[in-house]
Amino acid sequence: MIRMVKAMATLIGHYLDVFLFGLWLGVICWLLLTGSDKAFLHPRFRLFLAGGGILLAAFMGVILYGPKRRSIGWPLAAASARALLLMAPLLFLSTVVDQRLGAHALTKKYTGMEQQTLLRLLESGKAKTGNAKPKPDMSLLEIARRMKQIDGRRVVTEGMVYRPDIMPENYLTLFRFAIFCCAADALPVWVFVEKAGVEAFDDEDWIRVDGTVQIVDFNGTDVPVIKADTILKKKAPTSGEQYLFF
Amino acid sequence: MAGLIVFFRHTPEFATLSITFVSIFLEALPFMLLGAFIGGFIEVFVSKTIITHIVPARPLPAILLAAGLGLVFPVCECAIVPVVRRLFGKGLPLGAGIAFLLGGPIVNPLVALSTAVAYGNNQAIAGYRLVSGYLIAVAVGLLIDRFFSRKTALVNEPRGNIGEMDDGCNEPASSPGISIQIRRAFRHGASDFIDIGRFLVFGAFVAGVLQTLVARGDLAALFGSLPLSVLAMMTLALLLSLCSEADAFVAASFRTTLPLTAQMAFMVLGPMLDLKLVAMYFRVFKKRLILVMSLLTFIIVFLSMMAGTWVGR
Repeated sequence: MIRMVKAMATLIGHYLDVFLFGLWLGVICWLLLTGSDKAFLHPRFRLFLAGGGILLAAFMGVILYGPKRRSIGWPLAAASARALLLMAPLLFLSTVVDQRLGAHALTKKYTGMEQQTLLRLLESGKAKTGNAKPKPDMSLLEIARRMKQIDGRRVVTEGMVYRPDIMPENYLTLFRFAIFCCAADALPVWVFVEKAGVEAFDDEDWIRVDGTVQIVDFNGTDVPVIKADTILKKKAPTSGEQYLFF
Repeated sequence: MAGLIVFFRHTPEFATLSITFVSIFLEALPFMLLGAFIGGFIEVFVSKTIITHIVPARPLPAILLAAGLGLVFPVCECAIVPVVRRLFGKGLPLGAGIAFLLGGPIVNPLVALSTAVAYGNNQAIAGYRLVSGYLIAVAVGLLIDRFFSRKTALVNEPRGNIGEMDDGCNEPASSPGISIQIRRAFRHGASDFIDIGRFLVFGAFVAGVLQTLVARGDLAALFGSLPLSVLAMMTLALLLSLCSEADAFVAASFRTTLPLTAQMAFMVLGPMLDLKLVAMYFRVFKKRLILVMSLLTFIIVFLSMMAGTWVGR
């Protein structure tokens, strides 16, 4: 029995680090192949993630074909604890594959001044858009970019619902998150939507809004309000499609 | 961590925490691996003699040079920790190492570009950020060099092997073949990743918890005066642990609520000092140095931001 335990410990000791690198390599491949990386990172990070995968494979290779760990007992226990800690993000990753940043994240990331920031931030995009009449179907990011340009025009856009208790009757906040690098730096992009009966929608419902944009003064800041003609509930996108990307 | 998953898995707070934690880790992972890989190659291919030849012997020129190294060797804060750790092992002077560690993630063309873009192609703000970062890194490097020695500052030099493996890493360097040296470099890299990666996990987790509990707007709204808003933004930079190439966009989201000085404090402190970095510093420095360096950095950033505002008036 003791001999079997020792043999097992030796085996774990030999291949623990190989297993760790292999596991992370597998997860990176899975993220890249399924597009699930977009649930956490900007697509421009795919290249870096792929580079990380190559390094993991190289690290795994040299350990697999190199000399192995000899000692067992406490050193092995310490190495196992270290490896387990490095696996902790995987545990969390497995629980959030189908989840999204929602209303709770909005309340934590909201500063109230996103519209002004986005307007200035996206000023460089003006040249590209020129004076051409914008198509009505546009993302919340596009609305922020062309806020002044589309005042009084019809737009069709989509996002999540947020209606805090202080929200006036017939109004809701339509929001999504836009990310620069990863979900940790997500910036909420939002507009107000006005229509009778919006109280029927629950927080985090995904809706498609068709209406006319009006710029109003909100706490001293210009913000867009969509006077909606129709609001349709829609299926939530996959976690990889939830963000807008700068 | 397991308790959180078992008891809070279906709450919205848990989703925010998990996504934030995993995002920070995944974003840092490739750079951390790259840093470990470069560190491994430094260990094998860069001798102490080379470092002695490249780095000036006197502290001031060495620190002035090291604080600006990011311009030619652009690395983010996650990659720089394992690199500096290996450079210390090769005899890099303490002050120069600190200056590179603090200045590298700011004095960096990629960071300058992202800052300019975040502020609507305002290159003056990007320049101000780089110059502030450089001067603060030099100041902290000089002070640390003055009051600490390598012996009192650094934890044991990296052993260069994985666990207790006898992998040949410590063989005498009697000109082994290039393929053996490359394999050895990779093994050092793998060792560094495992050794420092766990601190990244811990730091990313704590940053995730705080991003879940602390609202950006509330913290900024707490303080009305300039000094307090600067302090608020510095605290936020500590808590959020954002990448130095993305933090300018978050800082820019406060541009109509807070003065530029407060936004600048956020952008200058974040790449030098945040929870994720402090956790990783524990694998390089002794506790006392981490405490002193953190306090010095915090105080110098605060004072220089206030002085900058005063001069600007």
